[in-house]
Amino acid sequence: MKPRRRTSIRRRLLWLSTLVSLLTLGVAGGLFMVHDLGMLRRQMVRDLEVLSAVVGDSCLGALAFDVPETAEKILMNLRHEYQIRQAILYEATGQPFARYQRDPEPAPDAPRLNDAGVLVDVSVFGLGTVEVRRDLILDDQILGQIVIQARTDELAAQLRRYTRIAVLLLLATLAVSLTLAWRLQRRIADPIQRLAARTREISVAGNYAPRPALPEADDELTDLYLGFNAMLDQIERREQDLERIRASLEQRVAERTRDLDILVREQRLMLEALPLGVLHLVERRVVRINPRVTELFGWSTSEILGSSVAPFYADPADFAEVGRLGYAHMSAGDVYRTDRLLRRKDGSCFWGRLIGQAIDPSDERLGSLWILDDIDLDKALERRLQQALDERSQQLRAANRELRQANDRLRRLAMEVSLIEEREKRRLAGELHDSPMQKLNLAQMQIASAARRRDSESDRLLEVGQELMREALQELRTLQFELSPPVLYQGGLGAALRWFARYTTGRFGLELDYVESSTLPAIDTDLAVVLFQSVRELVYNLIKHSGAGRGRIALLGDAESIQVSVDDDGRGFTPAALDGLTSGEAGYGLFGVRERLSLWGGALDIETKTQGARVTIRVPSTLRTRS
Amino acid sequence: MSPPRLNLGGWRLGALLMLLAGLVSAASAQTTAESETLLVGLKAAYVYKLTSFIDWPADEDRAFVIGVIGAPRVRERLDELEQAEKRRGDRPIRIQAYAGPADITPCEILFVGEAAADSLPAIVRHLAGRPTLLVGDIPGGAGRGLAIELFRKPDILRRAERLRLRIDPKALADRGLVVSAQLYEVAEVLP
Repeated sequence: MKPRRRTSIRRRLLWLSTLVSLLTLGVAGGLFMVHDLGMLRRQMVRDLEVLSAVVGDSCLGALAFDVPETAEKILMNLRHEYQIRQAILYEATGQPFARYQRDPEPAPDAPRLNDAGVLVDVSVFGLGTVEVRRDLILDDQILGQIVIQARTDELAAQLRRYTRIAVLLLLATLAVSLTLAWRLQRRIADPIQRLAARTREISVAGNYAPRPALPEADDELTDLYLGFNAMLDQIERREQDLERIRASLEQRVAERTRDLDILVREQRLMLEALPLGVLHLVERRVVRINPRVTELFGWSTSEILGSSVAPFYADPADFAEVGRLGYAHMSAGDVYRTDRLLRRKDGSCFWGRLIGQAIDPSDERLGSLWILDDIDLDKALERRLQQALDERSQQLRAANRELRQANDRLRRLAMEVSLIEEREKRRLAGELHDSPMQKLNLAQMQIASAARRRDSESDRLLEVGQELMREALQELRTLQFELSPPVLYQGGLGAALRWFARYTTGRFGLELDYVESSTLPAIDTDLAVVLFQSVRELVYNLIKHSGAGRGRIALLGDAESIQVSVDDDGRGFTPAALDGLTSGEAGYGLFGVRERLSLWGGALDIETKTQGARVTIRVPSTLRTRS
Repeated sequence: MSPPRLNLGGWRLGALLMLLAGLVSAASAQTTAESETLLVGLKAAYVYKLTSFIDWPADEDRAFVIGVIGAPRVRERLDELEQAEKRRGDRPIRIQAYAGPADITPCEILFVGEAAADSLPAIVRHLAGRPTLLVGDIPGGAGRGLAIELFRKPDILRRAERLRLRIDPKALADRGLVVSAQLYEVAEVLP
């Protein structure tokens, strides 16, 4: 910037007063000149109008009686007017009728005639020419038109005179104005210059103490000096106040700076010790981070700062989605949380939890703060938990399935039990009908017959009846043993099985042996009942279906388990029969046996031998009660 | 072979010259007739224009009458003024033709044609003392009673004849008529 030229106020006042004087005079002279020239021009036009009227009227006769010589003679009278350049008389048809020219001049335009009246057409071409046109009318009939053109030399001469006078006036005014202003401005400019010099001293040295002396005259300058001195007083007081305020402010600034330093150090320590990554992003580029970020990603601080966060995402789609969703949340002032798979410098990935918030939602240029947490371990635990949950669910489904199957088996078992009971009832009913009932009926008839006869035959009949009743009683006792042998509750399982082997041999003709080990543990009564019923079912099946003539019941046991096996030398089991036993679709009562044993944790094994079969029952000896 | 010669005998040449003379005279007669017609119209127009340059002593309470005597063609052209309802001031212009001096009634202008040249003294006597402007085309009429005489004057520059005015100021003064100075400018004035 170009420095402004310094001009003293003294010189400015001088030039200003002079300029104002010259300007005033110039404007007044210009207005006067314009007015005078205008008036002169109007006077000239008016004279020409009168002249055109006089000459035109004089030419009316010549026009009316077609005497151009007379018209030209009249026009020649215009030669006495030196400013007239030319005059032309036109006929009504527009043809020139007579003409006067002082010098060869270009012809004016063709006449523009009116229908009636008098027209004065004045055209001013600058200061050079004035043209007046007048229609010549006789008895309301236009005979022609006269055109007079005149120079404006008089106007130009008058303008030159005015110009000379104006220049002389301006020079005189300039001289007088300069002289007067030079003398008068000292009274005004000198005190102002002294005041300005004092102001410069104050601004340079800053010393307000010396006050400038008052000027001699008692006027506005004195007021200015007094005001200046009062202003100095106020400035001094303000300066002192400002000094105090500045000292106070400096102290407060120092305190606040110290507090701020402490706060900054605390924040830095917190950020450095924080197990979370903290990032300050602007337009998705990293502006500031804490050391944890470098640990999480494996990039150095210099590599991260200024770069985009796009490489941090394992999937570019995540980068785009976080940009779309996250910044929509943050621009609304919300906190955005998301879990994303992130990528380290070495290419390995980890799960990170991102929490972002805009510093100022209304000004996105300030960027956003993001907190990054490594949740890889949480994710692994979550996965394992989910896996365990899945496995447990699978187990639960399997258990449910087994439970449903068990329920099915129980239902079949209950049906089987009902069938067994029904078969047992039928068998017992048949047993009771076939033998004890018949014998009791026969004994009743024998006794009744003996009572009627009352002779020697009566004694024989009574004996027969008594014998029949004893046999029936024996059979009823046997039947009672079969149903629930008392020896089972009194002598235990071994005694019951031994009795049952003997009974079977005697009853069904099957050579059934019984053996037992010497290390049998004590067997619970309920388990003993189950095992006895199972063995009885196996033996009855053997009798019904195997066609065997010999068999053996073996009771073995130790501290771990109890084992009962039934061997025979019959035809054994076919593979189809074995499959039926396994699925429970076949009969033989073996299915019910197996199911009852399973309630005790036991199992039933069937083994087909070269001749015959072996069915083995195993139950744990430690598990003696139903689970 | 020489071209055939035109053999103009004495009588043939005479007949041809007579034919050419006849044609020339016919054309000349036609031109003269047109000039006369224009001249008659110009005379009628001059008579009408004179009304604008002359002041009569007092306006009569009747039509402005222009009488014509001895100039029937001029009267015909002046009749056109009447038909056009021309006026002088507030007074309508009427054209009146007179057969002889005795028929003349009071009028403002009386045009006396060459045909009435002999009757001019009688006309002057008949109108003596009356404010009637006597105009005519009788050669030498101005000075013999006509106040304004219309006469033909050759224009050398334009190679044509122009109709000009000749004024007898004495005749005008005798009848109490005032003529505009402009009329004096364009007319010859008898001493």
